[in-house]
Amino acid sequence: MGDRRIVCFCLDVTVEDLAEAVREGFDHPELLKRFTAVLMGPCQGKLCAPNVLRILAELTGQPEEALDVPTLRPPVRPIPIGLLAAGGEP
Amino acid sequence: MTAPTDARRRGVRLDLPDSRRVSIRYDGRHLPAFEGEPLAAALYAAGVRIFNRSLKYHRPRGLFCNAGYCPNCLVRVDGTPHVRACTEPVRDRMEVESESGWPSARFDLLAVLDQLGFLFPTGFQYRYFTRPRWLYHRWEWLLRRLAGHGRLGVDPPSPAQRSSLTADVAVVGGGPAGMAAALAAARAGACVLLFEAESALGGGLRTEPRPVRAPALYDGLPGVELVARLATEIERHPAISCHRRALAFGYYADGRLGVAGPGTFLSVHAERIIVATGSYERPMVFDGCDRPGVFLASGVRRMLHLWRIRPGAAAVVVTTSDYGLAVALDLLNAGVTVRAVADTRDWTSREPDEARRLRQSGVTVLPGHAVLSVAGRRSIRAAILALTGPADRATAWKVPCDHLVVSGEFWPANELVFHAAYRGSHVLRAEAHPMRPQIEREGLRAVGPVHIAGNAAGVGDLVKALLEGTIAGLSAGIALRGATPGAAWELEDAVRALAAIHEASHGR
Amino acid sequence: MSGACAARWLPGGGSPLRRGYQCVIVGGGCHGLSLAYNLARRGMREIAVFEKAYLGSGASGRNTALIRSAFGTPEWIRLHQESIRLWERLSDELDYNVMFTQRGYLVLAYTDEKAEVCRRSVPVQNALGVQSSLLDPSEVRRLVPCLNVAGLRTAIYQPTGGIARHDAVVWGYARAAARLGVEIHPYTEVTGIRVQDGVVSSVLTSRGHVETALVVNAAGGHSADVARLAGVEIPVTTYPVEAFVTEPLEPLVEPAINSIHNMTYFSQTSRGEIVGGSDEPGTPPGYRITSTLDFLELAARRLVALVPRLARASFLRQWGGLVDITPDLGPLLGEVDEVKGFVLDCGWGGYGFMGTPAGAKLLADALIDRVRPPLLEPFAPRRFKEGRLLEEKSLIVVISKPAAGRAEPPGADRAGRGHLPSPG
Repeated sequence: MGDRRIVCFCLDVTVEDLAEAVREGFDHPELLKRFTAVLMGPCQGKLCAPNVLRILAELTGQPEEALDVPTLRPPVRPIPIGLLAAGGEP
Repeated sequence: MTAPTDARRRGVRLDLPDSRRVSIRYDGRHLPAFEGEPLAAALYAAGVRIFNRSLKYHRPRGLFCNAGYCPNCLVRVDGTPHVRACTEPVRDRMEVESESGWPSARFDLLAVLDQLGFLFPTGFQYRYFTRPRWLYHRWEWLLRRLAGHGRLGVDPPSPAQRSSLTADVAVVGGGPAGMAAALAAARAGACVLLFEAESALGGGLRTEPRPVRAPALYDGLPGVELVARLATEIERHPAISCHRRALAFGYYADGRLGVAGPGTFLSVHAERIIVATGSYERPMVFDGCDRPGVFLASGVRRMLHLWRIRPGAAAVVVTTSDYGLAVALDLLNAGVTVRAVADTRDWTSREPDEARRLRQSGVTVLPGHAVLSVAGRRSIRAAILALTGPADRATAWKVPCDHLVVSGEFWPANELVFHAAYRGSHVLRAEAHPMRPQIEREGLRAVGPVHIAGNAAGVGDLVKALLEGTIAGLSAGIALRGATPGAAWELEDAVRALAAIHEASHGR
Repeated sequence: MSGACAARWLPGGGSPLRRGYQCVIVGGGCHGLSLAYNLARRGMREIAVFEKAYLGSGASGRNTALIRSAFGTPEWIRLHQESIRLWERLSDELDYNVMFTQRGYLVLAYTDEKAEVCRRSVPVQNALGVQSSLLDPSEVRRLVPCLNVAGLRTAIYQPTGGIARHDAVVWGYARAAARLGVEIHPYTEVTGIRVQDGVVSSVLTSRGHVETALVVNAAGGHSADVARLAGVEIPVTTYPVEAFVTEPLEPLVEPAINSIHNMTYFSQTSRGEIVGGSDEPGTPPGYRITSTLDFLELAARRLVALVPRLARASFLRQWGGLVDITPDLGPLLGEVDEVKGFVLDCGWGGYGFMGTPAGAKLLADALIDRVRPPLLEPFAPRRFKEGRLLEEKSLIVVISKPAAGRAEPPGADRAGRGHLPSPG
């Protein structure tokens, strides 16, 4: 089972999961994100992004600054659909 | 000061809020609460420790960041799923339910999945049931029911209001940098909108009881008093329109800011935006780092100073900076027994003031130590500390506690800058990276009309934040309204002061 | 069934290029990789796929992954019906679960015009073997209890339609292709295509040049730019399209849903998130995939109108992608006349994901057998010169047609929809 320390609280992704993903070839931050779902949960990376990138840098033997960082998109926090639907016809 | 080991029996409230007593329901139980206080505070005071179960392994989760950015305190409130209890104010007769876990978060039969982790390594869903197809369909049916937690109430929510606002300068974030920026922009003649996501201005200063070092008039005041003074100035200022509980959720290509508050959606257009959104605290990764009872240090500060709640009776603190030491002192002052403070830094020659004060109060302070793991599953019973460096279990020390406070690094919360900088290419090359924005020294501009100040521009101290806010605000105001002699002189002064700080820190 | 794979299988960057290949495919999305796999399966050797970013970084990784064959014209119905037949076997064939889930596909007609289109098309679909039927509002209500059927005239229900996991399709094809010896080169941009005496002779990339006599343009949103590298103008225009995803919810919606009069479409993933889009006719073409507030508001209003309960759900994220659209809205599949050896697999305009298995397989067959399969013939690139345009338009999302007399919602700002006409 390997290193079961939790890196991503939203989706229970462990250090071993990240290592396994990189071993299989998901070594670009965007690929890692899509395969393990890190940065895609409710926190959208606020809690885990620095740790994920640090671990990815270690696993791929690169400095952290050399990594492409996954795209950050709106909304910064989840926004109720009903709120955005206010005003105007569909 | 003796501390009974059962925090629940002792009562975790430091003092009672001065709002109306109300009653709420949580998973069918009636609980007392105070109107307007954070729901998480009311639940914690009533003894709730397991707020949630994690999505995949159904691990118990408790309060952690207390600031609305982690997924731990999500509950269902009055028919709306995924509400962050730590930022949701209590209303009388609120109906609250735990969302994950079956039958409840507190007692979850599916917790057995945590023992079966080897069956579900990451990417498992792509390896299983490639054939036969009918079996995959059954499996997918089950997966959907295990995964989707949010239950939507049937009644429509109360209708929301949409408005459009325009201004010269929109400041996002009402902490020290944001408040300084709003006041400075107004001084330079701009018409200012200030958006603060929380219910009060102040940001990190709201939880700072110690006297702060601030330039000019405010030096020596406790952080909370400084906040009060600046907030009053802002309220009174005719050119500043201050919106609380207003979260700027996106900066869009057409120059608009989307802002959301309870029942309100604002479409904002401003010529200049100042991003002063502060920072997030980074968790430490260790065995059991997600167990209920492990808190971020900034989260504990919020509990102590804003919620007036003690996290427990006996704490262990692990820190990488002076911030954690300050939080340890806060805990002591609140009557918590601090069993040990581990500082990953090995300061042999220069003991930080806070560390000395902790030692003088009888707290065991361990430089050069880190946390290896915690004991306990539904709540922590002890923290296992060891020397940093290669983990040496022989020298590991098990310290009994009911909560562990971790103070890792802070990192900038600058998503809005990213939104502004993103040019829509499929891959953002590292050199052009907006998470590490190239900030112009003058005006602190990150990209286009977007300035950045305070911790969002790079984590630093209060003086830096106030100066940067002032610089960004003045620059934005001057760019839009022209340079009055007063504004120009003030800007020059602030730039020089900031430059001096940069030189001093590089020289060290 | 379980157990960790220890070795790398997803092709990474950096492996050396050969001097030449039998076939070079430009674009490492689902079409490029599927075509490579199918060509290799049919025995072709020395195939290279060049992708300028990470695999699946374009529309393949951004689309909303809805799958159906319930269209209005025989050409589209036949092609996508063949696709569904292949989708049903795909996970087995690739030995990788692409999570194709046949939860059904529902086309909703809230206007008389669209209802008429639905009524006319179902018999055509049935005659070609598509299991589709017309439902009245009460039947729709039974199928999707949370749907607001007020104003609904009729709906087409195709039980064999559904959804899949888009990234898994890319990875599954990549793995299967690599196992058959295809060389997959991500982070390798094609910067030039040399043509000598009207025949493709070599391809220049950011990592070196290779010789080949067969180049396939599977570059999606950038297909027009790639074609220009070979000196060919193809009839596609690139448009930005946006999408949203919500937080995970309990199972709420079974089938994929498409309300065609206001171009709002969505489905619920296995993790419970609602993912979808809501488009506008008259969207200006462009290459920017930045997000807009207009989209979020529009999608919110339309979603709440369709499923009122979603008012309490929250948007988690919005993003954008590119689609390349032809004047008759159908894909370009086959050789161009101007340059020998330059083949197109593009212009799918938002229907590329669902058409992947059949489009790529048939095109591979055509290239190997040098005979055009009948299902492919209507999509030949030369149809525009020959005036044999396709007629599929009423049951699909059409963003390229200019709208006439659309009323502006109060306070709306239309500037945010992306307007850069040049590649950027």
